[in-house]
Amino acid sequence: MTCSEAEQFFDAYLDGELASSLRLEFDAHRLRCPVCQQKLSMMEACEDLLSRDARVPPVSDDFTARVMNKIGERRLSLRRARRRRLMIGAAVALQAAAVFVIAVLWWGGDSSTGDSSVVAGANERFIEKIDQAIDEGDKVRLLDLMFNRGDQLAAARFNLTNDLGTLARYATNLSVLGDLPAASDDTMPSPWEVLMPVASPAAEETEPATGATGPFSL
Amino acid sequence: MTRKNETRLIARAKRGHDDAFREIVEAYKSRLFAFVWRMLRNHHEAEDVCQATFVKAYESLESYSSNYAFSTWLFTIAYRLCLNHLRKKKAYSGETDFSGLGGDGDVSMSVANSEEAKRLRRLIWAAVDRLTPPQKSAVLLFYREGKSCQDIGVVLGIPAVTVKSHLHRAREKLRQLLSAELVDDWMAIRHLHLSDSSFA
Repeated sequence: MTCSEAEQFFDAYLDGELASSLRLEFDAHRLRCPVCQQKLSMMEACEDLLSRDARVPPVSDDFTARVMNKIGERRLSLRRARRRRLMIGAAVALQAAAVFVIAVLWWGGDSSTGDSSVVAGANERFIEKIDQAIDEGDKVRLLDLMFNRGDQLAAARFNLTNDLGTLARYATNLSVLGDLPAASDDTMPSPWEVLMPVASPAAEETEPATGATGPFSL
Repeated sequence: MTRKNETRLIARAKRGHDDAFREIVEAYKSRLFAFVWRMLRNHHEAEDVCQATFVKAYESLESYSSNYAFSTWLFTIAYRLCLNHLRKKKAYSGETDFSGLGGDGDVSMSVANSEEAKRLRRLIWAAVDRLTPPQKSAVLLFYREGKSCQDIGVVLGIPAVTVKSHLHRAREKLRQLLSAELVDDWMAIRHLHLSDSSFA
């Protein structure tokens, strides 16, 4: 047996697992080879030290007490965390319940509303019924009426815009200095009385063009 | 501690009896600390990791399966915490804190306190410290704790075959490291051997 062959069996030899057929051969080599002998002695010393060397610093005397205190602290913090989680969960559940109740009261109180698909279906059926009930002539008249009403709405919106524009012009042209003496006049009309001719074209017509009689002269 | 007594204590600790867990801590703290200290080589850090191991064990007691020895389960937790600790430290310097070492009261230790023995011990532990954490754990659990490759595999989370491989590589590395360190001694021995044979 050569040294390299013997080295392959070092582990098995040290673990006491070397087959008996090889053991004699291995021992024979070991006895005559000082290098392998030294290596094995070194490994045996190493293993012996690893398994027997009890030189470990002692654990602190209060180690067990510290462990138990730590466990107590952890248990307490875990309980607190669990309680906090429970409280947060309960608060979230309460909020969800409150939102649900409000939603039920809100939507449930209005009988005209409900499931959107049901409402849409009812609307379609209603339109179909009207379509069947009204003849073509009435439909045309109804559409004319709708268009007329639309025109009237557009005209009203136009008039309202004009009136607001006029009001804005009055407001920007107010003469503050001239108004101050009149402020003490008990007979000063209210702003609504002054603005009435502006808001009402009919009233404006009744007033003469020189009608800047009020304190808010243009 | 007998296995029966250990099982009884674990069952009581699971039911929330702190005194039972205290007994478990008392029974295992020295073995566990020795393992962790040899992994970390720092007294303060080793105590912290041991404390964390017991706290973790207490909190996970429900998950302990009696299919394995309680010590194996405990070492598994400790090994993982050691790895985390070493990763956090990043630089595994291998510096040894021998400040708390005593042991001179032991007769066998005093016999083994010759300069040669001290030197050999120092060299061996220095070589062990240069092993990788899995190799070092495998060596410590195999030699110190007398664990089987199967149990070491459970602790390290690897198959038993890989444990054998770790042990083989660890021995090889130790052999190389120690050979390099002890080369002068070897040369002296060899020289002595050759001179003896020449005289013969």
